[in-house]
Amino acid sequence: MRVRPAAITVIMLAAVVLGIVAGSRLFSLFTGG
Amino acid sequence: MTAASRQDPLVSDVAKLAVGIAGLALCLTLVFLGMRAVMDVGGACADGGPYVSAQRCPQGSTVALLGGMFGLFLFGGIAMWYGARIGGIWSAVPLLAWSGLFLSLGGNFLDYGVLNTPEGEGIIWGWAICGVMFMVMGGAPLIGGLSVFGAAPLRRSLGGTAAAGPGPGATGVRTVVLGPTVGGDGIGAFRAASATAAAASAPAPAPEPARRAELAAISADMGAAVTQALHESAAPDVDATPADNAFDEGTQALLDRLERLADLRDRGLLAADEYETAKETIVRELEARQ
Repeated sequence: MRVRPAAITVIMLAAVVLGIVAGSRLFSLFTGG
Repeated sequence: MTAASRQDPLVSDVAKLAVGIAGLALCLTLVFLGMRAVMDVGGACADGGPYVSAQRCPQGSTVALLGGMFGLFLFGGIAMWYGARIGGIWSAVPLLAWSGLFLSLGGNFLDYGVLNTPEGEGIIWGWAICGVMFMVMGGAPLIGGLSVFGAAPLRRSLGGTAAAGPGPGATGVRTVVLGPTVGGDGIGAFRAASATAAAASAPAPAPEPARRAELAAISADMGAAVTQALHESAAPDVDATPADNAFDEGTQALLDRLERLADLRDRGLLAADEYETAKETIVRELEARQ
């Protein structure tokens, strides 16, 4: 299965947002907040 | 909406690149927040060892900073590897993490050292200077990279080929390819295909001068090669000996053009449909020669 180039852009933007949200949650977990 | 073509990347590669990119964003966030936590307590802290530290590190900041920094290497490697497999602009996208790291940390320095200094303090020059240096370290490669790569590969990668509509560059290649006045049925067919594509894409703004010049050079090369090939097939070389089993010059030139077209497509300078149109013409000429 292959992915069209325009779809890759959307997937990567979603990955960045997901990473930032996950990083914030993980930091809260570390700090016990 | 058009279906994905054979040149489009595999889902598995895209998924692994997404893991790398998400991991990079996660680690950057950890480092960014960990640094702010340490700067909240004055910018320096210590934990462990036989001594009692005057300023202990905020809970979790050590794990966040160390994990984030090492994670950047891990996920950076994953993103670079699978970005290179996908090719085009995606092989360079993970490098944005460098700018992301230094710009975000530089922002922290400027925030704490200049904009929101602790009460009763003026500008903290140590942090302000670090902030400016980090901004330069993050911003200079970003600006330099964008100027080197230019907008064309980015536009092609972001906009796709047919579904997103033709960009100025896409129209440019069709316009330029129509230019050479060479004869032959193959060229006639290529012209017809190009004219159809150009008609479908009009109206569109003119291509940028640099790209137009590059495409004109490619087009001239292709036109010369096809003309040469047609000329040679019309008047075969009577002096050729049976020992000359390798491709003749015209065929070799056509094969070279094919390689160059594939290279241009891989670099994102040619869209998939432009590549296919040009390739079909060359393949037709090769078949005619056989």
